[in-house]
Amino acid sequence: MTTDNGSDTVRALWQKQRGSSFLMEPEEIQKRLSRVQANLRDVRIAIYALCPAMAIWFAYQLTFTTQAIIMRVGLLLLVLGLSFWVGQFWLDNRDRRKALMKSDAAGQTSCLEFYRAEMVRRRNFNRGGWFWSRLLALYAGLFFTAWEPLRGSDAAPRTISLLMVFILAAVTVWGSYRYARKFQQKIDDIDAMQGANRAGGVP
Amino acid sequence: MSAQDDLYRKAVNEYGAALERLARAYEAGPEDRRDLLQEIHIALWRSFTGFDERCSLRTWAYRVAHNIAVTHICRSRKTKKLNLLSIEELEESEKPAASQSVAMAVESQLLLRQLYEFIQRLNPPDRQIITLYLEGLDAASIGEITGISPGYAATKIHRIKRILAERFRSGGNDDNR
Repeated sequence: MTTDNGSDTVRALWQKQRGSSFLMEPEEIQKRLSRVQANLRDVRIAIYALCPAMAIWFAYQLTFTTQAIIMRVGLLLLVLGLSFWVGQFWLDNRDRRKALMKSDAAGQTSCLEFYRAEMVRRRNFNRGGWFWSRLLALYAGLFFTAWEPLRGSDAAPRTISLLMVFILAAVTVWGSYRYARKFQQKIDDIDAMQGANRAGGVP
Repeated sequence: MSAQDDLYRKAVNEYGAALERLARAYEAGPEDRRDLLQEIHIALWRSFTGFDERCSLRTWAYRVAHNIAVTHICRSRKTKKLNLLSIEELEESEKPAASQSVAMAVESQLLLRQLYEFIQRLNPPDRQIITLYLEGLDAASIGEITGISPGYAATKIHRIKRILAERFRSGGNDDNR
C-alpha cells in the first residue's frame, strides 16, 4: 500500500463522519451573548467593589490611626498593591472589551498569528512590570503590616509568619515565571515557523 | 433576515459537519465538546458583521473555528496538564503498530477514536494542519487559513500522510506499544 492510499483511506473515513446538524438560531445566540455579558458584568462589579473597599480601609488606617512607622509603610504598600491589582484588571478588561467589539478578528487573523497573540498575552500576565508591582507591594505590605503586631509575641510565631510571607512570595514568583517560560517557548516555536515561512523551508 | 444571519446559515449548512469534527478534535468529552461547538457558532455568527469577502467563506469559517478552539483549549485546565507535542515529536516517540487489512480499519470505529486521541495530543499549529488536511484541503488553502507558507504546509502534509498511512491502517494495535 502506498502512503497516499493509506492516508486517503483515513481521510475518507474522517469525512464520512456526519454531524448532528447542530445549528443555533441568531435569536438564541443573542440571548446567550447577553447572558455571558451579564455574568462578566457581575464579576467586574464584585472586583471593582472589593479591591477599592479594601484599599480604602487600609488608607483609612494609614491616615486616621496612630501606627508605628514600619506599619505605616506596610499599609501604604498594601494600598498601592490593591490599586495596581485594580489597574491591571481594568487594563485586561479594556483589552477584552476591545476584542469583543472587534468581533471579526477571529476571521481576519491567521491561526498562527492568533495563537501567538494569545501566548503573548498569557506570558505578559505572568511576568513584567504589572506582575512585579503587584507582587512586591502586596507581599512587602503584608510583611511590614504584620511586623509590628507580632512584635509583642514570642519570637517563634513572628519568625514563622514572616517566613511564610517569604515562602509564599517565592512560590508565586517561581510559579509565574515557570508559566511565562512555557509560553515564551511556544512563542519561540511559532517565530521559528514564521521564520521558516519567510525562508521557504521547514525548521 | 439580515445578511449576517444569511451568511451564518450558509456557513453552517456547508461546514457544520466539519465544525463538529473540528470540535471533537479539540475536546474529547461530550460536554466540553458541546460547549466548544456553541462557542464556535456564536463567534462565527458575530464574525460575519466584518466579513468583507476578501477570502472565501470556507477560509473564514475555518479560521474562526480554529482560533476559537485554540483559545478554548488554552483556557482548559485539562490541556494545561498535557504536554502537547509537534507531529515530528509524536512520530519519533512512538513506532507504528503492525498493519492489518485496510478494510478492517475502515470499518473500525476504534481507528477513528485512535485518530482523535492522536490529534488531541498535538500542539495547536499541527492540530490545525492535520484537521484541515483531513477535511480535504490542499496546501495552499491550509496556508491561507493558518498563516504558514504553502511550501511549509506541503512538507507537513507529507509527514502527516506518512504517519496516517503507517499508524492508522491497522484496526487498533496502538495499545500494544
